Amino acid sequence: MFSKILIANRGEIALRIIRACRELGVTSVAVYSDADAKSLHVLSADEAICIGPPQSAQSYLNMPRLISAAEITGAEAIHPGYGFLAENSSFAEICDQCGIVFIGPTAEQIRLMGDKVKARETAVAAGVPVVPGSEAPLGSAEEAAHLARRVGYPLMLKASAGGGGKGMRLVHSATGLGQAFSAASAEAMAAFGNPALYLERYISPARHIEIQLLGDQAGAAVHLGERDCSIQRRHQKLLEESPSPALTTDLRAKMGEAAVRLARSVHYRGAGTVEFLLDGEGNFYFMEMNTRIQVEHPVTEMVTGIDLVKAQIRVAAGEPLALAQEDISLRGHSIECRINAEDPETFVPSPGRILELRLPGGPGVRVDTHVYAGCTIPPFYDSLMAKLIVLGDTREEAVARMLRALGEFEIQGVKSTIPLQKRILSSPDFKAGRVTTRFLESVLV
Amino acid sequence: MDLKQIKAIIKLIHETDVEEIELEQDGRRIRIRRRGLPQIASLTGSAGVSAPLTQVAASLTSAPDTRETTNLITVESPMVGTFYLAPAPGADPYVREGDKVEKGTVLCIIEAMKLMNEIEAEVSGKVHSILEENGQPVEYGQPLFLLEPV
Repeated sequence: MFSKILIANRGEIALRIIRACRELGVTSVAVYSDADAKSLHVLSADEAICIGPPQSAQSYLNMPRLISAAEITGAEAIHPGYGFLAENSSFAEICDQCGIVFIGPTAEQIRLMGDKVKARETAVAAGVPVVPGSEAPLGSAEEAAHLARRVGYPLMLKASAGGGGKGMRLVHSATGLGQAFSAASAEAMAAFGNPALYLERYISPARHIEIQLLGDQAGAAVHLGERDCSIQRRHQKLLEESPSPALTTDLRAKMGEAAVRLARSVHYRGAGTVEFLLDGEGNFYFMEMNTRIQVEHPVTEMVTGIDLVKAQIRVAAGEPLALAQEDISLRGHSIECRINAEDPETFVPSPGRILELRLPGGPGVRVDTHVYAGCTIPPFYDSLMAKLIVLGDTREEAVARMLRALGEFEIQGVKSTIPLQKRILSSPDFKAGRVTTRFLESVLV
Repeated sequence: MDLKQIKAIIKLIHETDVEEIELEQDGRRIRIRRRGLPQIASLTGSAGVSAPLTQVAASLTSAPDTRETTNLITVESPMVGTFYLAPAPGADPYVREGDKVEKGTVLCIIEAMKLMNEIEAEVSGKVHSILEENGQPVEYGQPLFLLEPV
């Protein structure tokens, strides 16, 4: 086991990692920008180093400063958290070259899954169903049209080198394809310096179901069930739950096995998540793989009883997985609501000083947060303030428990998305488990 | 009370309008007062192991504008690394306290990831104090020197 780990992140995930270190008897080193000098992760860590001004590029994204901080503190490993450099293969490589263990997959695995076309190919090779589409970047609009006859409409044109909605076009029929192709290609070129596109059948309405994976350095891999993350706004998740109301035991086993096959085929190391789209007929399709710990990991921790961050650290330290697939089961129902410092209707960010804070409690309630009364939410980073997670015996109990907990949660000084979460939880469709990726539009209207 | 804690107190005085701080801990008392520049006014009590500071009585009066403080400039570390006063082990240091420097004079080296970065004076003046020891790890923004500009 490592004696010292540097956490290359901030906010609630940095605190989460510090907690895991503390339980493992590992010394934790926090890094912070000037804007985070009084942040809870800094106050909680065993050691703390200021690494730069508020701008991420000169602090949390600055590789030389992070490596230097690890060197002067004698940290043997770096945990990158999520976001920032967590899926930056260059950073993973540099850590390697400097003799520092990067707590996560290998640089090669990050690169492979970061390339959307290669990730699809890897999935196909592992016998994982993928969204019907092109196996390689499309050479021309004519090639796209030809393929579209087989794949079917509606379809999505997507940038091979990108994401985040850029270089994407939804095409409803053959007549719109040519123009959409030119537009998407130009946009991809401008955004990523690469005009290459691929296409996929557009599956809608659909559920976003992701499978949590753990792999060790000896080649073993297990899955820890699913999370249903269909409630999203502009590809940002707001609420996640496990198990998914849409999955049968059989479907869970099939999807879990598919994800594990994918992990094994690349000897995946550490925690990872395979994202699928599930259509209305029980067909699931590989979308992408995230090679990091995710924001919503607590939902899986609640229903499996397994500490995922400690598992990541143990795997990185060379330990074999403690559990086999047959030891893992989902018990109860967990829901997580992300509480952001945003206006609950306009979603405009609301940084500032938290004047009063009252956290919910009681049975089955967990709050992962770095904020405290009197702290300041800086304007330079994301708006996530807290994750409110509940566990109930049944989905009904979990919903009732979440509504109770949201009612107890008080934040004064900044705006929060608590009112929106209450509306989601109260909606008849949500209570009935009728949720697809289109759900939020109907609530927001 | 160890050197690290005393340095932290000096930094606190230097960065704020606090005039004077007096601390008492396990029979040891220290008073640090601003007069032009922070000075250690008295240190009584026997040597002992450091323990968490139990009591702070600070008088938070604003320093008068007409105090005779010189406008000392703090040279802060622009990076994370190891602070070296000399270009190589055993060599003469770049500067000593009292030395005159020009804008651009190399004051020290900060080593980061095996690269030596020379830190230059931004103004001409005199080296008033060297705040860190040779070979100390330093973080971004850490005060390294006090310069008295001409």
